[in-house]
Amino acid sequence: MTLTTEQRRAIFVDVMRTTDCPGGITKSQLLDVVNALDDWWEATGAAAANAAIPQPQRGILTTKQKARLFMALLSARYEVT
Amino acid sequence: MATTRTALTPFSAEFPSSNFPGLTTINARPVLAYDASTQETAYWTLVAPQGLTGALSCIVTYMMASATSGNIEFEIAVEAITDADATDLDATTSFDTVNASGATAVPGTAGYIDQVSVTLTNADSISAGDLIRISISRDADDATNDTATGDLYLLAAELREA
Repeated sequence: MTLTTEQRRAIFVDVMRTTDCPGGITKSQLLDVVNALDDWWEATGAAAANAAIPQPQRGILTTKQKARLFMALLSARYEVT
Repeated sequence: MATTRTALTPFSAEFPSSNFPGLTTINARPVLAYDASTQETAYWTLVAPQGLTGALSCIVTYMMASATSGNIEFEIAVEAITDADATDLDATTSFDTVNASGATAVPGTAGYIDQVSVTLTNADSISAGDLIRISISRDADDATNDTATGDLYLLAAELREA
């Protein structure tokens, strides 16, 4: 299930309060990005990320634990917090 | 000849109880940081200077924290209270209708300044000696005229008489 409109908007608002807020696009374009990424995660991304985890770990880890690992990996790769 | 009537700075700003810009420094410069999604407001109180007779405008100097495209819009309102006016300051505000800058393109480089002139058509019949307040907001919830992302840093504003 995708995030609600309010949850997506909260992400959009929070991102604009960070020091590395995207400056080359408009507010509506930024919100479109959030919407598109959440749609993609729902349709494709979550399943692909889960499938990349080897067994038996895939079956042992909870969804929340997998999400935390995925966040840590993205944070390290792209130096964002 | 245009005359500067007063200069408004971040450190002289006053704030409502909610939805106000943060007072901070950027590179040691005091700024008011206006949010991109919530309309925030700051006030300045002063006495209208003697000699004030003409049309007023407010020139706002700002820079963007990160935006390099899109527009911003200011809304500026004036409250002028004359001696013996029946205005109970304990309980009321009496700002005139806001004066909007309209959509203004931000500088192409974050950190570069831009100066926006807003004609104060609605100036609450201001006259010399009045107790006045100037209200400056970023119209952040206007999806048409305020499209730039991230904070807007107000550096100063000038009350200018044409």
